[in-house]
Amino acid sequence: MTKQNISPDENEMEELLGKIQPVPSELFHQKMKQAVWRVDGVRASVKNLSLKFAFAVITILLLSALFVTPQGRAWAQEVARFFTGINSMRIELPVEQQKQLNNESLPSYDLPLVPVFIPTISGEMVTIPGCEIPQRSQSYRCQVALAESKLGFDLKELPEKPQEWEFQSLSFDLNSRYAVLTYKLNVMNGTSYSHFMLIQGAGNFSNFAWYRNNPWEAVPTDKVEQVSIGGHKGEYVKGSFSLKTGDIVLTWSEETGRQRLIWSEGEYWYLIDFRPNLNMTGTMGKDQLIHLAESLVISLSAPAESLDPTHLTSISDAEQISGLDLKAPALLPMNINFSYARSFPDGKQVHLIYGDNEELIIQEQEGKPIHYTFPVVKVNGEDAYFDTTEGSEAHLFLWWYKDGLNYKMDFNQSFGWHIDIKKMITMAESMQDIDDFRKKSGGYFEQVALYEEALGMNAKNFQQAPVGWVFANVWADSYTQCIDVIYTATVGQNTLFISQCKTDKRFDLSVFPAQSTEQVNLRNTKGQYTTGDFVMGTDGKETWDPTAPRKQLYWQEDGLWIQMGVYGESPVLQDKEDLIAYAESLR
Amino acid sequence: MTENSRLRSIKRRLWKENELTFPNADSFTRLYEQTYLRIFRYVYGLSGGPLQEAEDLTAETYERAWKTRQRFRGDEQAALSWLLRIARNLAIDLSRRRNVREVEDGFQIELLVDPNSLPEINLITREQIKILWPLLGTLPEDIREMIVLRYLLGWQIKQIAQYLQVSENKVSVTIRRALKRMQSDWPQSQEKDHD
Repeated sequence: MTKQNISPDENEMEELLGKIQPVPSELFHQKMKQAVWRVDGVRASVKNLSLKFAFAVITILLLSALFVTPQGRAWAQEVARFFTGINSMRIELPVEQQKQLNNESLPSYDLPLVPVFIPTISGEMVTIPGCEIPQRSQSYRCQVALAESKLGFDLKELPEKPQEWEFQSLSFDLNSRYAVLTYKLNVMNGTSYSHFMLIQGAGNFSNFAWYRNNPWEAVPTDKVEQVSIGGHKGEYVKGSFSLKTGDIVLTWSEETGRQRLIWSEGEYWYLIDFRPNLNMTGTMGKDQLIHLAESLVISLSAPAESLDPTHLTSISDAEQISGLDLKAPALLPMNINFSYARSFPDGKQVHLIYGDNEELIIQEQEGKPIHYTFPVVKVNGEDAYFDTTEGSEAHLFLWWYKDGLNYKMDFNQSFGWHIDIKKMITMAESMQDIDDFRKKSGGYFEQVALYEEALGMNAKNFQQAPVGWVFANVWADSYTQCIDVIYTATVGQNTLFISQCKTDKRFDLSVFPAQSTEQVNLRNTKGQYTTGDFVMGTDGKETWDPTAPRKQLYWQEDGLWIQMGVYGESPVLQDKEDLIAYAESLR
Repeated sequence: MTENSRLRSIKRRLWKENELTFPNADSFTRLYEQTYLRIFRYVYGLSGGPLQEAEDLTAETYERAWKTRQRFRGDEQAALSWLLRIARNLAIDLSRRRNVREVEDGFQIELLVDPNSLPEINLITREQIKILWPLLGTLPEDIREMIVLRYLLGWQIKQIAQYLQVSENKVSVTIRRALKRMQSDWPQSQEKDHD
């Protein structure tokens, strides 16, 4: 045993401090070699797009993919059975998409508050045992049961939920007869997750709308590998076309890590689309994906699901597991919706997590009131505290106490959309016994009125959905101040959409060739009618095809910029006059 | 054009010439290469480790910066300040989550000094650094930041004052007091087993 230590003097202390020069480990350098900005521009660029704006862009991409030209289909089938093969490592994006992407400059804007809409349960769901209440109806088991009953075939599923995987959503399309199961690998590394999609459909894969004339899903022919999945022929691809920051041409890159596997069995086709977080180690490769594909099963009876305290999909589940009487806001910033709740076993504490990027986190913890030294504000007439952090990592914090619970609300403003402290207090005061739960099946028609009120606009609607069309989805965006309503055809694979905006940020008609555009008269105003669309060729070039089945009408009325369009050959909406008649029937 | 407006115009032009932007991965990678060590040391000093956590915070700092790069305009020093502010917010956020600055148990001296200079550091100095590191963690956050900027990053008093927007005198006095405080908190004797 030795005695040591003589307190250093001031100079020695400075010298010692100067010697503290830590350096990061080799592992850090390895990890940073795959940092988000190095991997490729797309993931970064798509993430950097304002989500709302990106959503609009992606929507347009998907809508663009809803039709097919005979020429496109013919060459696609020659070079690959499933993937759309092209003979180029570069794809020129259509002018329309180039403009939309280049216009994107990380807008920063305020989010209005929108009342939370809790949908009622659908008639079909009520008939499925155990799915009678809305919260349960959102569970994996109920979603699969509903999709199977509507689509008329059994879905293949993972034999068991792998550890750390969270079921995100199940969507399906009755016309095209396909379903999309989405999982998130809940291992967050940095700020990204890995995503896994299992898509399956009946009939010909060429009917799958996402892959038709969609440059983002195309593959260079020589990158398609023929594989066998349990004796069935399939195709495997590693890599994807992506957009480097500031570029207007898609380039092929394997560094995106994206892997896709497509195969068919009898009259059904299957697609696995895996987008790993590149920071994650031990990710899956081709052999593992094939093994996974071969292990998929058709469940005869799904076992009852147990609650996962780290990923609870409704407030009532969080209450059940924590024993707390939780409150949730009845008003939320636009498009910041309930995502999941997390219950902590070591204390009576629950986090409610909202938003695709987890922008809003509300902590509720049992205990005595905690007093802070932060500035005081009033919530429900009682003292509360708020604090902010500024700069690129801007947050708003609000702490308050009510009925035995300490609340902390944390809103991350760094994504470019903001709320102010007044809105935060309004949200805090709206907290009540509301059973919010993750909504997996898109928007509801009732939300149109809520968005109108939040954006302060009087949108036009059909008195009732036109014959041959049924409401499909709605979303709103406070940056462009637009409300978009989508209808799908009851017969055929067509989409009708109406965008109504208080600003002209979405509208640039100069991208369409003049010879395909003409001025038309509407009820009280004039509009512009365009027919045709950009079509991708085997050489990766996009050319305008005036015969492509896309019709659009643009006009201004009552202070709104309005766009109405139809994709696909519709039996009920065949020509310009039909579209004008639809436009004039809006009230 | 008046003399004043002419000067303003020249200044604006000069400013633009020195202005950095990070429109693409290459320019951002250059920024990363030039700054990562300072950001890492800053985060490590502010948070107290463990190493893995400081590395994660550093990585996250650059991810956040990449996401919001289009909002940045400024020169080289402004870019460093911008990254430091992101790192600071992340470190604060972390400390708010865990409430106290936890110093890694049984941390190794090898993690605190540059491995290249390790052979030159004698045993007594090593022991002293092992005592000093937790003492640094007992300082309030704002004072610790000044110490980290001054010694771990090697900034001048003037630079710290400009960055923190306080007077040079305040920085100087605060650092002196902090050194004295750590001196007085220094354990007068420490017994160690050598089995």
